[in-house]
Amino acid sequence: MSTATATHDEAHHEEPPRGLKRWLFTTNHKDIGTLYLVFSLVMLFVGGVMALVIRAELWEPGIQHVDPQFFNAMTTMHGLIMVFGAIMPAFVGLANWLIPMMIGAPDMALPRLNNWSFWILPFAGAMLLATLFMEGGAPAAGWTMYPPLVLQTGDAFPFLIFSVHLLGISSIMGAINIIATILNMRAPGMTLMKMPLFVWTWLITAYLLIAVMPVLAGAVTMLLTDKYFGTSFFDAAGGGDPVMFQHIFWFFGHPEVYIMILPAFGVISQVIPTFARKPLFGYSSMVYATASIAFLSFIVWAHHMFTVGMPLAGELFFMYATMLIAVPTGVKVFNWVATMWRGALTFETPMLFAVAFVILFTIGGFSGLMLAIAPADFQYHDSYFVVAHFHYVLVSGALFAIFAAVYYWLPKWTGHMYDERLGKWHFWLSVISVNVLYFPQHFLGLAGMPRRYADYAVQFTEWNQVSTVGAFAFGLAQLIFVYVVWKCVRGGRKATAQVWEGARGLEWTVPSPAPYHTFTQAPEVK
Amino acid sequence: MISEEVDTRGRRRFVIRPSRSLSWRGNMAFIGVMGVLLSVIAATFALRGAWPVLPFAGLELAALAAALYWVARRLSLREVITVDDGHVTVERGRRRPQLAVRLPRPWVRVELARAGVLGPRRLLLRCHGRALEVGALLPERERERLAARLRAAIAPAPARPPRSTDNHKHPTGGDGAR
Repeated sequence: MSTATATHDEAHHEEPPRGLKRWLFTTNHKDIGTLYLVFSLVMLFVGGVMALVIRAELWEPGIQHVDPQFFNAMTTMHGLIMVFGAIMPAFVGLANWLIPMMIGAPDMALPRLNNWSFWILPFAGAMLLATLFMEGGAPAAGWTMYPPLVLQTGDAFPFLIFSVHLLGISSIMGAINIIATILNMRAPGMTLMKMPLFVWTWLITAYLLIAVMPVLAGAVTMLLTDKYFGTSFFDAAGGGDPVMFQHIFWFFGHPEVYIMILPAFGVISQVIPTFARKPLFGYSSMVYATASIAFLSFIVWAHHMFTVGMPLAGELFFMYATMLIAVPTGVKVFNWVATMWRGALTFETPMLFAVAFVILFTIGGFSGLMLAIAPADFQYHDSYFVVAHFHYVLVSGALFAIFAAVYYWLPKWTGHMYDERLGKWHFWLSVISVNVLYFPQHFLGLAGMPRRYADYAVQFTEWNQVSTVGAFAFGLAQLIFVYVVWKCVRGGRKATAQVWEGARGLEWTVPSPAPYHTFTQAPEVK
Repeated sequence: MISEEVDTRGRRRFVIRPSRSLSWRGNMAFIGVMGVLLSVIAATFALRGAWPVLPFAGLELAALAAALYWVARRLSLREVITVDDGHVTVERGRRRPQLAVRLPRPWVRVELARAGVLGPRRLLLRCHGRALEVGALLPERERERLAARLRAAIAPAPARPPRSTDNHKHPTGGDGAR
């Protein structure tokens, strides 16, 4: 971590332009960061309502509230919206707000591109949601869009493909901008190995995005041509191979998982040292571990498809390669714990979410290791155990890191301290309900309940009801989060520039709220 | 980044360059690494029959290269504004001046004008009905500071005693030379 001196004219706060045009045409990284974060919050609730429809239907066996086709549409749309509409945009929003301030740059390298990358998103999201009202219903083949099932989608199909393309274009533009900014616009003295971990994790995430997005674009384009232009990429009758789609999709999909979790690692690596009042333990090893995880993410994709039929050598390779990821991930968990070890710990809301992240993400990691064991995966595959695993990684992992980030930097963004008491209520309700929601799903999966079914056998009823209670409690707890953010934006105790006693980095050298233009004179990094 | 100097003949020279943390060579190395990676990925899929990955990979690599080239090119620009007794000279270029404009100092006005409602404020040197934009590669606040310094430098100097021998003393007394 760097130490820095920055001169800043606190009296000279330029007011941003007002009105709708500000938000439509803005090229300011803070405005665009805010837009991304608000968009992702809205999408979190849209996707969350879909999750509640799923959980309500699963309250008891049989068909209660929705027909199975709509249930499958809900699981599909929930997945797509949470991945592409909530988690990824939230991290891009954090990147927009924080990367320029962390590296001492006045803005992103390509501000207009930044505006376009955001404004593509609402159109793509709206198009995806509009499929719910189309003839034949919304896509219902799962977020993985496996053929031939996905090719049975009605009128919604081309809109699904087009929206995935648009979401991909937005991600690529964002990634290019982040790379250009980090490589070219660091303040004098801000060498790569002085960059905050959040910046490092985003640099590697952007690299992953650029590497895998063309693969997704190619895959969905082939689906489109198979459906409308008579090609047979994935049609066995025409000489194609449906399993080929799975290879292509997961070559994109597995790095995508890391795209969603690496920035979370970055956030946690900022928050824990602040509240432990110690520098991050093993900074260099954290950087190398992140790079190792990124590399390994390219060679493990087929662990998602152990059951499709692979040669034994393939099963073994992907099993061992997947297990190997536990090594750099373990380095990270060790370093976070070592940072806390003998630190002067305090447990404000961001730290609570960070500690919960470390514990619950590790649970998700361990269940991932169980799934990595090929012979065991034949038992767990497509069961609720998998659902529990990836929700521990993405909800109590990625989403909790986003909550930690918002609480941590909210005073810097708004100039006000958030309501700590309500923040803690949000944390405790979330952390309890998230475990009530997802932990029973391990039991359900191990007992044999398959995923993506509207109905189930009666012996699964009790744990499904516990899970549903947890889901609604978790959903309601998020309303507290919205209220805390809204209250903090409206007012509250004034935040100092430093905000947190143990915080280090350039963003804490500017006043709170951060002026509309920061580092209009490059800071010196020592 | 603005550096300011006064030479032995009393000419004030403002050298304006954006902050830049990676050379074009470094950017090219990054593009090369991405190019190799994307080529391997796309070629592998193409050989397995999934050739539509190829054009998307090519397009993306082109977009990445174009973006990095544009940023690196913008960050390699230099602008030198020299104010002497009779003239204000603006030179702009990368390795050598690609633009050189000499304006008669008494007629030069320094102006900060906003482009549109939301656009950043542009720094213009106006002279005989012509306007020359300078400092476009600076962040807005630094551009405002440059405007103030240029105004001070270009304004007719009040009558004062002959210069002392201390030629390198900062003329504005501000935060100039670094």
